[in-house]
Amino acid sequence: MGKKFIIQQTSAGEPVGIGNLTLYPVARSYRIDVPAARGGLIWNHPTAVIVEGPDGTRQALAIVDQTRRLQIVILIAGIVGTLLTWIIYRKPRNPAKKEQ
Amino acid sequence: MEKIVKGPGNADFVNLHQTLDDINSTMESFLEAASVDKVFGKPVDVGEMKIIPTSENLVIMGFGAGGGYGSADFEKEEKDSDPGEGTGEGVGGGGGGGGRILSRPVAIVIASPEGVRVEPVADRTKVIMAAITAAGFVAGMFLRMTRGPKSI
Repeated sequence: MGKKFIIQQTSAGEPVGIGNLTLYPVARSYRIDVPAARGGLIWNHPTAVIVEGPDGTRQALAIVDQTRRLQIVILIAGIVGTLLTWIIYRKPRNPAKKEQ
Repeated sequence: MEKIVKGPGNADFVNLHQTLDDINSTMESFLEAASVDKVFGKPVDVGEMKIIPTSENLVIMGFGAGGGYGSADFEKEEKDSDPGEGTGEGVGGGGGGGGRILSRPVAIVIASPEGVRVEPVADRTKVIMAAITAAGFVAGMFLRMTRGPKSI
């Protein structure tokens, strides 16, 4: 088996207690290793907070990256807008030129 | 006859090993970037509430190191005008690296005895930059499609 190029890891941190509640932070990281050199890239981001109640019930609160979502939505809108502009304003092909 | 001996000094080995140790310790720090503690900050007590800041981290790092060792024997030849003979050894090495850390706040976790809520943090600058980029694409295509033919 070869060495993995991309490693994904989801891990929980130290619990934080407040009142009767206990919070478990959860993060996900992606690690990309460069085969020819030491080093690479690590992208680490929070994914959720698990809240444990006094009766032991657990509820996961997702941590949403609003900036990233807005960026993706805006860039997709830009690509769609560019394509629509091209479709709406494109000139019909000249049949006479085609015959030549 | 005096022998010419040029061997690897201890200082050369120490420097090479120190470079490798530095790279290993920096690599360990690099791998720590994947831990949970790096994206969840220390809880801040505000009255009965605890506020936990969260952030996204992107760490890019690269290293390289190398070394070499060589030795050679020199023997006197009759026709050689150099009367010296002996052995020579040498060692050399070096390393280098670079990296960058990008960090951005993502959300704030507000915990109180009554409950927990997550407040997202929107980076207006990044959103505005994305909007300008998208608008630039559309405007560029509009101008390209509506302008007349080029005159020579």
